[in-house]
Amino acid sequence: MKIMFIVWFKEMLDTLRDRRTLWAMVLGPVLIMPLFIILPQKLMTDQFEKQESAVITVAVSGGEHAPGLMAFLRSDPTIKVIESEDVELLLREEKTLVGLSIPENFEADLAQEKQPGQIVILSDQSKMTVSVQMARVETLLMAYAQGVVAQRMAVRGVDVTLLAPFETGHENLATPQQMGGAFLAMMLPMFVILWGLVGGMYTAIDVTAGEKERLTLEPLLMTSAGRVQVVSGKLLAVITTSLAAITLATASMLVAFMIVPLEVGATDGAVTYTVSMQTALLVLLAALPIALMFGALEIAVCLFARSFKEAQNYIVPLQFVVIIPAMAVMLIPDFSPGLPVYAIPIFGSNLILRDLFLGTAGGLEFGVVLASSALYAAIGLVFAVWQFHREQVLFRT
Amino acid sequence: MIEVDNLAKHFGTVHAVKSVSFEARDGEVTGLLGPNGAGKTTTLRMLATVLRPTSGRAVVDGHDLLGAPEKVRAAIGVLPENWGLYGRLTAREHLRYFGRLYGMDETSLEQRITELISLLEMGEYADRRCDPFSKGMKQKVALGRALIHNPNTMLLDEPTAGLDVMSVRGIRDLIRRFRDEGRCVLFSTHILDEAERLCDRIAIIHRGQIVAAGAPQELRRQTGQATLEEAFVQLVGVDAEEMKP
Repeated sequence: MKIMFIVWFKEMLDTLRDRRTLWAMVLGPVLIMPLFIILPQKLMTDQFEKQESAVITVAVSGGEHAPGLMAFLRSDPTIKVIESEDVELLLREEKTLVGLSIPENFEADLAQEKQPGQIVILSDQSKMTVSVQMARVETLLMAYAQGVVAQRMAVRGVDVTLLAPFETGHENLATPQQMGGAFLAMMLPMFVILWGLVGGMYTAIDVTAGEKERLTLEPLLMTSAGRVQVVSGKLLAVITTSLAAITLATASMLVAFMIVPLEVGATDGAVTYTVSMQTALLVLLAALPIALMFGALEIAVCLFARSFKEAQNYIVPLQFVVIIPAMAVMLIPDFSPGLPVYAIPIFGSNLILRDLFLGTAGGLEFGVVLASSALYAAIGLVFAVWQFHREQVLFRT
Repeated sequence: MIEVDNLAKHFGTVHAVKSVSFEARDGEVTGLLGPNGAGKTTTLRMLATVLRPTSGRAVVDGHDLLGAPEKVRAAIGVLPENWGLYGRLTAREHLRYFGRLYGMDETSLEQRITELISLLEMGEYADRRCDPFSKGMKQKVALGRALIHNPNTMLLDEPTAGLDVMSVRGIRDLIRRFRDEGRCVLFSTHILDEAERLCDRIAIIHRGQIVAAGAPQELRRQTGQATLEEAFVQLVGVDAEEMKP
C-alpha cells in the first residue's frame, strides 16, 4: 500500500508540472462545460423568442387583388409588408424569408362567396428560423379568414360562437427538471463521461508510454517495488486527474447555472432549470467507477504503445466508445429501458446520468449501474496489471 | 557475487544470448567485453530481472534469479545503457523517489541523498529539473538512482559511452572505489583499453556466447598473444575491429 502512494505522489507531482495535463484536467472542463451546454441552449431560446416577437418582413405579390387583406396585414405592427411582382427573387436574395402569392380576383370572389384561388405561402424551408415566421403568417391568415366567416355569419344573423362550441387550454405537468433536462439530459452525461476519459488521458499516457519513451520504465521495474503496487499507484494518479476533471466540470456547470439561470418552457410559463447539489454529488458518485474503468483501460492500452504519439493514436478510438452510446441515448427520446440495460458498460452510465439530470433516477437502477461499472472497472484493472507483467508489452521494440 | 550458468534468451527466432556462463566476485571489477550486438545488454537485463531468461540460471548475492527476483532487485544497483530520467523532476526528487521505492525510511534516505550528492558532485544542480541537464549530469543522476539503496552488486551497462573525458575519468574512479569497498561490479563495454585498465576479470562475449574468461594476463596466456588486442582478434575474429576505442 505504501509503495502505491509513493508512486501516486510522484506521478501527481510530475503530472501537475505538465502544462498539457493542466489543460485537460482543469481549464478544459471549467471553460468548455458552460460554453458547450449553456451557450447553445441560451442562443436557441433567445433566437426562438426573437422570431416569436420580432418584426418580420413578408413579400406579397398580387396585393391589388386583396386590399382588405393587405390592410389587415399592415395593421399588425409586427409585420412589414413589401409588395412586389417577383416574390421568388426576393426570397432567393434573402431579402425576406416568407412570401405570399395572392391569386387574381381574390377579394372579389370572397365578396361573391365564391371559392377563390389559393393563397400560396412561399418559403425556403431549409432556413433555420423560417418555420416560426411561416407559422405566424399562417396564424394571421387564419385570423383574417375567421373575420370573413364572422362577417358572413353576421349577414345571416347567426351567432359566431356556434362555430366554437368550446375552448381548449394547456397545463404543463413536466417539472423544470424534465423541461430543461430534455435537452441537457442528452448533453450532460456525454460530457461527464467524456471528461472521465479525457481528464486522465495525458496522465495515463505519461505514466505508461511516456515512461517508455523517456526510458524510465526499466529503472522503475528494476527496483524492489512490487509491480501490482506500481500499477495501482499509476492508476490512482490517472483516476485522480480524471475525477478532478469531472468534479471541476460539474462545479463549473453549477456555477454557470447560478450566473445564467436557464429558463425553459417559454410558452407555458417559464421555469428555471437548476441542478441541485445533491444531484451533482450523485453524478460524481456515478462517475467514480467510470473514471476507474477508463483509467485502467487507458493504462492497459497505452502501456502497449512505444511512444507518446502512438499511445494517442490508441486513445482516440476510445473516445468513440464514449460518444456512440451517448448518441444512442440521445437519439431515442423517452427511452425507458428495463433494469438489465443499465448494466451495459458506459451505456448504462449514460442512462443513469440522464435520469439524474431529469430528476427521475431510481435507486435500483443507480445500484445496478454502480455495481456493474465497478465490475467492469475491476476487469480493466486486472487487464492493466496483466499488461504490466508481460515482457513483450513492457519492452516492445 | 554473481554466478551465471548457461543463461539464454531468445526473442522469437532470434537467439540474442545463446549460452552465457561466468562469475563476478565481490571486491572485483568484472568486464563483459564484446562487440556491438554480442548480447551484453541482454545478459545484463536478464540479471536485472527485467527480461526472463529462456533457459539457464543465475544467482545474485545468494538469491536465485528466477526464484526470488524481488530479492535480486533489492541487492543490485543498475545503470542501464540508456538512463532515462523524468524531465520534470529534480535530481534530488529522483533519488528520493527511488529510495522510497526501495522501502528506505525517510531519515536514512535523506542522509543517503546528501551523501550521494556530495560523492557524485551534484550539489550545484541537485534541486534543478533534469530536462536541460547535459549527458554527464544526467548520468550522475542515473548513477545516484542506482546507488541510492547502497547495493552490494552493481550492473553498469556501457557506463562511459558518450561521455566527455572528465566524466569518463569520474566514472572509472567510482568503479575502482566500489571495488575497494568490497562490492561486486559487473560492467559491459566494447572498449578494449577500458576493459584492460579497469577489470580484474574479463568475460569475452561473442555472438551470444562466452568465448573466454579470466584475468587479462590469463587471456593473453591462453591465446599465446602478446597484447590483449591480439588475443581478441584471435577470439572474436573480424568483429574485433569495432572494439578499438
